[in-house]
Order: sequence, then structure tokens, then C-alpha cells
Amino acid sequence: MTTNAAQKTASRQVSQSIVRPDLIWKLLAYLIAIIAAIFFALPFFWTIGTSLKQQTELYTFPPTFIPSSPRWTNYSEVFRLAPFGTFLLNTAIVTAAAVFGQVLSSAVVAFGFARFRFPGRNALFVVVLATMMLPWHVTIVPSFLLFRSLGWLNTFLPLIVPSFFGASAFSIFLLRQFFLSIPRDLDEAAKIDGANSFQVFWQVILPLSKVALATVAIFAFIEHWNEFIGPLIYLNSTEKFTVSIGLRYFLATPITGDEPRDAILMAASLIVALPPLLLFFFAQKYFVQGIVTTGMKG
Amino acid sequence: MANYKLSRRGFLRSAALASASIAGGAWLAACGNSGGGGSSGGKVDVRFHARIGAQEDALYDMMMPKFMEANPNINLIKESFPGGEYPAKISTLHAGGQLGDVMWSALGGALIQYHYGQNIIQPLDDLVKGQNIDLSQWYKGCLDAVTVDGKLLGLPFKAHPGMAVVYYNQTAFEEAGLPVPTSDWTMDDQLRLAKELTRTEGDRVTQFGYFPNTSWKGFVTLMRAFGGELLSDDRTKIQLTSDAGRQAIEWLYDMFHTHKVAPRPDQITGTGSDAANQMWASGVIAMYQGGTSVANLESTIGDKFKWMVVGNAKGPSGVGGSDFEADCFALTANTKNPEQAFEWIKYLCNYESGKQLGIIGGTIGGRPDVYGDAELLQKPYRVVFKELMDNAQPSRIPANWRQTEAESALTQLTQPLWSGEAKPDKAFIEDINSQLQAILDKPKA
Repeated sequence: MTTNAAQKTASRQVSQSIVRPDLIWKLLAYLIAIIAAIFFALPFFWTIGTSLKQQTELYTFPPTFIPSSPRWTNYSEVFRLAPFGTFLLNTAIVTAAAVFGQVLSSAVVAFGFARFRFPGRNALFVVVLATMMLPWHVTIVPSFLLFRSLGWLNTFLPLIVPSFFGASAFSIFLLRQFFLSIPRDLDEAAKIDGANSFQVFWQVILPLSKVALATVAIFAFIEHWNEFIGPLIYLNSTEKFTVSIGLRYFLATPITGDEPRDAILMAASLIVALPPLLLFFFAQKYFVQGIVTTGMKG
Repeated sequence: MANYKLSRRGFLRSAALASASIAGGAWLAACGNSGGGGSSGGKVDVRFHARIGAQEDALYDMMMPKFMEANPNINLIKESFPGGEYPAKISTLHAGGQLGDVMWSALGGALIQYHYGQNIIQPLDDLVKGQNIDLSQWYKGCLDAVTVDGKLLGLPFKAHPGMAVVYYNQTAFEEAGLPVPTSDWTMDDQLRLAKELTRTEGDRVTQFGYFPNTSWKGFVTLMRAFGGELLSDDRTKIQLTSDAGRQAIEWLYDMFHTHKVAPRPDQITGTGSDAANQMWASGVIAMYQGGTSVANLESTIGDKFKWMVVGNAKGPSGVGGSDFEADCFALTANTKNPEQAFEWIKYLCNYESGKQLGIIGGTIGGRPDVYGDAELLQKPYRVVFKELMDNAQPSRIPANWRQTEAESALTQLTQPLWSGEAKPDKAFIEDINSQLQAILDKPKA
């Protein structure tokens, strides 16, 4: 073996015996991430465990994660003690319609802000964004009075129709940012082929915006699925309630004098949380992509 | 840059779209529910508002068909709302002119006073007199609880004697070789038993002897045991600085810190105001002070341990203390069908409904015939409840109706005592008293 080769071999052996600093940082980062993930996921695992416990097992000390004998009937009790199936159906109807309306109307408005130049466009966009600063406490009373005068109380209309009128400034903003990133050359190419503005929107811009639209749809789904104040204020009949109000059926308090049902409440909460969770797991690619993409160009 | 040029075709298309939108909006408006009571198919609709609750919903579902069969001209429409949001929902309906005909109300939190003050409900005196209703079928204390400014505002629905009950783990007593409490037990007996029943493993308490109620209602009953009243006779003055008030606070403080038989706030494992109930059902507490509604724990506890109830331990005044608590069904101020609505109120507050509440489980109707029903009295704990109810002491609401505000303030102001951050010295008690008095000095809510 020549001297150079021997030196190279020795050098390689020395470097391999020393742990690389970047590997240590990577391990540390993973460790922190794992600990943080366990920390944030702990309440969720506690909910799962509690949903399978007997009521007398809930507040023992020391607390236990795993029930001594899993009580799967807690889940069937959810549907026996309250018309939870009806609540789920109502929520699905309201959410589906509202998501459709929000995606459609937000896209139309965002297209207008992204592609059209007209006097006062920027000021109008600022006004739209400013509506995000308004707390719902300010708008709930005039909204209620409006829907009362329309005779829409105790119907799903107050929960659905506003979504068709660009109700979400955040969605408009998100889509506008994404539309701005689409080259105008595509618009002009379509116009040369004889397309009008609506055709450009529907046949060129929207197909290219699936990621952003999926993001808006996910946000809208979570918002409307979990909504509580709207259903509480606008709905009176039990058969029209949504799951957010339905969960209150299992919230026993000394006021109502009911039997404690925390375990069943946890089971009901998991049932309610399942659709958004599934949606997120299946659509997280679009979710992450949409957030990243809309942040790239301003 | 994209420029939009308005052509004739484009203008006509836009106009058609705008017209269709306006027509669609008008159609949607026509789809709306006009709200409010009315009639359907010749019947009178009676909408009634109630809280969501397993016991009460079960009763309504049971009684509504029976009532409508007996009254074929009346169609009942139930609208139940979450208990915690019930007052807000009622206020919203009232503000929107959407209130129904009948609604639940209660003495608790001076809710009935609020509903009366806001002209949400109307007195029943004329209807009661016109139909010669015999009011003696309900406990006088319950009727007094729902009478404001001399006007009867509802018929009593459910009632109980307040925080007058001590629930005890009979199995824990037997395992410790201790005699179970009797109706004439004293506070000294209670302390002795609580000490014997408190178990520790190292520095951790595995079983607490007694969990007293430290809320406003707990103070009312405890001060009565010491021979005093939390509120003055005219209900304008708070009396925590009286001998009874001072003794009550010191007694409670000793339970937590001197004798260490009660769980401090950091030792409580339950959640919210239901913590004592939850801990007791889990076997962490041997005795605790509660109301009659907790009787629902029968099915929750099952065979885990034997349990029973007894009245509060007697204090120096010779009584354990109690405090009438009642809710009711009232007639809304804007009902267009008062006679039909009153029929439903009477039905909900009759003997059969009151008894059914007991069969379903929980607090029962505020009527002597219900509390004394032979079938219900087969449950041993209901025998105790009857005795307590027959001797319950009247309730007192602050004269300015700021009950909820005063209750919250008392809970917050006394919290440092139970956590050990403050001692019940004269200065501290006077400070609490003055802050509560400031609330009572405010104008009527």
C-alpha cells in the first residue's frame, strides 16, 4: 500500500470514529419532535381511553389511560340517549352545502380581485380583509335580525346561504393569492381563442387551482362542521340540531341533575371529530400544498 | 391586463342573471319559517321551551302523547336547549319575538326574577283563580320560591331541599368498622367519622373523609346549622361577619387544612361544579354534601359500593340546614294561547309527572303527595329526602336579584381559603363581606 492510500484510509477511519455533529442535531430535533407530538396527542389518547371506561373509573387517582374493561356500549349509548344520527345528518347537509357555497363564492370574488382592474379595487379588498377583524359578537345581532325579518329562523338557511355570498374573507384572500400566481398568459391565450371572462374563470383558472380550492374546502368543512353559535341561535327544534348542540345532551351538570356521562360524552366527541380527522388525513397533501403555494407570491 | 368590454349580449346575460338572483332570493325568503305559535290543522300549537336533560326529556316524551290524547285540540311542540345556554337562548328568542307559549324557569340564579323583570313571563294568578286551582298540592316553600312581588309566576315542577343531603359510602364505613350516620348526628360526629375515614398512602390521600359544599347554597345551609343566615331578613345585607358566618368559614377551613379530611382544590380530580359527585362515584370520597338530583348515581355506581344518604349533621342550632330549591313552568308574556298553554303547565306539574320524574330517576316534583308516594318511598334514600323536604327552610334571593353575580363572587373570594393561600382571620372575612355587600348594594338587576 502506498503512503497516500494509507493516509487516506487512516483519515477515513478517524472521521468514522467521530460522531458527526449534524447527526446529533438531527437526532435531537427528532427527539424534540417526538416528545412534542406525544404531548399534543396526549389529550386525544386520553379521550379515546375515557370513551371506553365506566363512569366510576374516570376520576380515580392515579389516573389510568387504559380502561380495566373496555365498555364499547358507550358508543351505542350515544345514539340511544340522543337522536345523534339525525344530528350527524343535519350537520352533513349544512356542511356540504356551506362548503360548496363558500368555495364557489370565494373563488368568484377572488378571481375578480386577482384579474380585474377597476377603480377602488385595492380599497375594496382592504375592506374585505377588514371584515376578518370584526368579532362575531358585533355581527351576530344584526344577522339575527336580518334572518328573523326574512323568516328564516329555525331553518338551515342562515347556516348555508351566507356561504354563497363570499362569507369568508380568509378564503377570498387565500384564493386571490393563488390566482395571482397563475400566469396571465393563460388568460390571454384563452381570450384569443374567444373565451369570455367567465369561461376563463371556469375552464382555465379553476382547473389549475385544485390545490387551493381543496384547502379552502377543508377549512370551510372544519369551520361549518364544528359551528356551535349559529345553530344554537338560529335553530329551535330538536330534529334540526347539529352535532355541536347534540354533544350538550351528554354534558350532565348538577343543574339538570342528570347522571354523569363523561365517558359517553368522550365517545360522542370522538364520533364528531372523526370526519374532520379522516378528511385531514386523506387530504393533508392538498392542505399543506395549498398553504405553502398561496404563501409563495404576494 | 384583462379588460372587460360590455357587449349587448353580455349586458343581457348579466341582467338575466341578476333577475334570477333576485327571484331566487325572494323564493328563499318564502321558504322561511315564519316562527311563533299558531295553529295546524285546526289544532292550537303550544310551543314550550325546556332544558336538554335525560330525565326531563324522558318525561316530556312520555307525557306529551298522553296530554295530546287527552287534549286533541292542542298540538305540543317541544324546543329543548342546552342547559348552560338556556338563559341566553330564551333571551334571544324574546329579542327576536320568537318565544313560544310555555317555558321552564327556576329560582336558581334568580332566573325567574330575571324572566319576570324582562317581561318574558307573566303571572298566573288570574288563571289559577279562574280555574280554582288548589295551590296546597305543592309545597308552600316551592310556591314562595316562584312568587315574585306577590305574583305567582309559575307552577312548581321539580324541587329539593338544597344542599341538605350527605351522601356516604356505606361500604367504606363497614370496612372501617364505623357506624353509619343517623338523622340526629352532629357536626362533631361528622368530623370524627371523617377523620376515621380519611386514608393516606405515604403523602398521598387515597380516600377523603368528607367533601363539603363551599358554594353559596352550601354556605346558606351551613350558616343555618350555626344558627344564622347568609342574607338578612330583608335580603339586602350579607352576613358573613356574623358569629354564624365566621363559625361556618372556620369550620370549613378546618376541614381542608386543620383536620385535612376534605380535598383542597389541587387535590380535586373531578371537573367543574360536579367534581364532588364524580369523585364520590369513583370511591375517592367517603362522604360528600349534595342535592337530591345526584340520586341518578344509582345506575352509575352499580355494585361498586353500597351507599346511602342522610341529612346534614346538626349544628349548634339543632338543625343541619336546608334551602328550598325549585324550578317551574311559566307562561310567556306574548303567548296567544294562554288557556291551552296553562293546561300543559298544569299537566307537567301534576302528581303523575312529579312521580314519573322519580321513576325515571333524579329530583322529583315539588309536591307533598309526590315526595310521599309509596312507590317512590321504596327507595330508602327517598325516605330521607321526604323528611328533609317536609322540614326544608325557605330560600332567600338577594333583594336586587343579583344572585348569580353574588354566587360567583363568593366562590372566587373564598377560593384562597380552601387552597390555603389565606387564613379565615377577621380582616379577610370582612373583606369578603364588603365585596359581596357591594354587589347587594347595586341596583336591581
